[in-house]
Amino acid sequence: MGNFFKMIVICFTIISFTNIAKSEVTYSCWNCMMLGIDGEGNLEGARVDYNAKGGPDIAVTNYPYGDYLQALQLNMISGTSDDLMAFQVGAMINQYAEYLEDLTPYCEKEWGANWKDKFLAVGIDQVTVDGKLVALPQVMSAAGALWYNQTILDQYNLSVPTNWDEWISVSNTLKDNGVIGFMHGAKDSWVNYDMFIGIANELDPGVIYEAEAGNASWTHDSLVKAMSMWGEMFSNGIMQEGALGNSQYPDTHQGFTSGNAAMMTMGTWNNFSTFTNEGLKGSKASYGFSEDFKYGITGLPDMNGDGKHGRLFASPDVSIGMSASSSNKDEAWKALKIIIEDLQPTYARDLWVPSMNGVPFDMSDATSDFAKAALEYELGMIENAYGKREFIYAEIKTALGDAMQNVAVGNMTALEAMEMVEEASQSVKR
Amino acid sequence: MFKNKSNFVDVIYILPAFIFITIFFFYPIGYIFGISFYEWNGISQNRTYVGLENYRDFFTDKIALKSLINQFLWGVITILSQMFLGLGMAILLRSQARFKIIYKLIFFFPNVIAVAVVAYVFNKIYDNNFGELNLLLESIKLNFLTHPWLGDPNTALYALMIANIWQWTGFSFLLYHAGMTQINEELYESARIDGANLFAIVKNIIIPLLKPTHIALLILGVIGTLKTFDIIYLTTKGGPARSTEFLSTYIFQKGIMEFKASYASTMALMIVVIALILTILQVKGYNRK
Repeated sequence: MGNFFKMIVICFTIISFTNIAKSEVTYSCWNCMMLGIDGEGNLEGARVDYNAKGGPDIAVTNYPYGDYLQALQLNMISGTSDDLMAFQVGAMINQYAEYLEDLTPYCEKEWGANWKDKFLAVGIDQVTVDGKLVALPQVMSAAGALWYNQTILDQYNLSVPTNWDEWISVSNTLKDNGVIGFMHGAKDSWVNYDMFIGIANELDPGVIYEAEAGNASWTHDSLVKAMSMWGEMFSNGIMQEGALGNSQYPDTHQGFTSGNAAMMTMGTWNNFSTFTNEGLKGSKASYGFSEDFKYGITGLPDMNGDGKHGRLFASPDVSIGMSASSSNKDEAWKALKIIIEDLQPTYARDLWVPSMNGVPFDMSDATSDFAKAALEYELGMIENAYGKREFIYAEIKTALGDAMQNVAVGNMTALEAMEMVEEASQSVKR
Repeated sequence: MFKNKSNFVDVIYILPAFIFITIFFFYPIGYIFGISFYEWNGISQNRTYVGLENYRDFFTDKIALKSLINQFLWGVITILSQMFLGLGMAILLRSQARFKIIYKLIFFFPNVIAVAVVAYVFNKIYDNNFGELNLLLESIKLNFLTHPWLGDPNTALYALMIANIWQWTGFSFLLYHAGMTQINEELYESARIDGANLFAIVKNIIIPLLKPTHIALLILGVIGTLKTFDIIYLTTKGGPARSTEFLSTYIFQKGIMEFKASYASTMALMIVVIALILTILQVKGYNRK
């Protein structure tokens, strides 16, 4: 009798495990957009909305970015990848394209032949590799904006810089008063790329993308000038001293948000922590300040003399692909559809830029009318955005990062640096 | 097959270790050796055979050379400093100082802190604008000495060396302290009767008799240097301008960030070769009379 009972228990256990294995969708990511569980075991943020939408059971594994890259690589080549995985567009997603399901048939079945109209075009372009739709963009991130602290500027009777000379002048005036004018985490390559793309697109829009594609040289006059201006920022007073030792997060973010720096370059992903009551509360608690500042957003100052500030450029912040070897594709698609489409209002509530058309920012938790005005202005800039953030080729990315640091420390001239990038570009197999 | 039962028993004893080492040491090394002859992103099912191209690239790679130089400087300065300071602290504590236990705890405490915490703390201390070091210098009117310690390629590596020395000197101290307890007290007494001062005792008794400890610390130090990754990655990420790049961080960048698994494997293999050569030299030095 005892053995019979044990057999029944074992059978039930096996059956229940089999059912879990069949129905539960697995999703790994480095930035799960709150599709997770908090430290006390409670579902949080978008996960609550996901469940409310009737999403299939989902097991979310959130990694720090570096760990995620290693885990993804290992899981993929060992055939144990999750059903859904987050990707950064550009170099990263290109490497994994062969392992990812083509999502076009799923999209056509779900949304019809004109499904692309539902998404921002720039997002879909960057998740398409050799004609195959390898992922869908969850949210977008637009960079190339100058964030400023109006409270500090008012204190010193200064205005937001509208051109290069004003940028230098305002930064130096603040510096003379013991305040950091513009703060930048030049230790981090990603924010340096943002700055370089911003300058390059302001000087001569699109040349940088032509160079990336191999249709123009990286030693093009406008790109050399962009590199030269980047280098000048370290000696003309725009950059804070020791910028190469600072990271963008947390150093610069902390310096700016807590009122120790008047300006920084940042993007839409930072909206939540600055412009919402909930996000700012977290920033204040983390950084230990209590003052309320008036934060604003504008484009990079005019550098080509046309009187207009720089335009933003955008890429999917996170895109999600489905493993081609998943044995659970129907459920995985159901989950993906909810994460991509149904949760857009949730992301918009946290002031992420939606990847789908027609989903407005939800400013109900904005800290002030000044913050709302800044967000409205940002939205206008997003509509006028030009170009992308992410590079396709890792070699070019690395070479550009090295070039920028070498120019910043004075090891290379702008031309030498761009020659180095061009050399890397020529070694790329396109 | 076996001449006697004793040989068979020997093999049985060795077998578990042999299997373990084969699976976790020889196989991975063989694997990375194999893929070092290919061009491969570490992900794709397709690899392209390129022969010795990765090795040729390694020996002409200026960043790899810079990383090796950085690592060499790091090894020499940090290992010798930790040994010198650790020995000094052990000698001072040998005297009849009060609160010995407290001193030992204080000396050893940094050793048990996670490297991630040390990296975070020193990152804050060295910050140019809000860091404690520059604020301290300003407060004692030494403004001219304030500096972007981690933001200047001329100082970043040395600033990180100080963090490393601070953390690991306690380990050297502990080993030297343990080693000194093994030295017969009568030797010290005899030396004192013969009129030897502290310097003579250190030079003629302590340093020679602690030779096994010196060798152990050297070997551990060299291995630690070759494995150093976290403090660099968490503070400077190898910058500014590669001034703190190590082979380990460069391998991570190439293999994980740039998807050049085969070239990263080539560099990893080079680290194994370097570690092997250095260890053989050290063991030979130890065995020399």
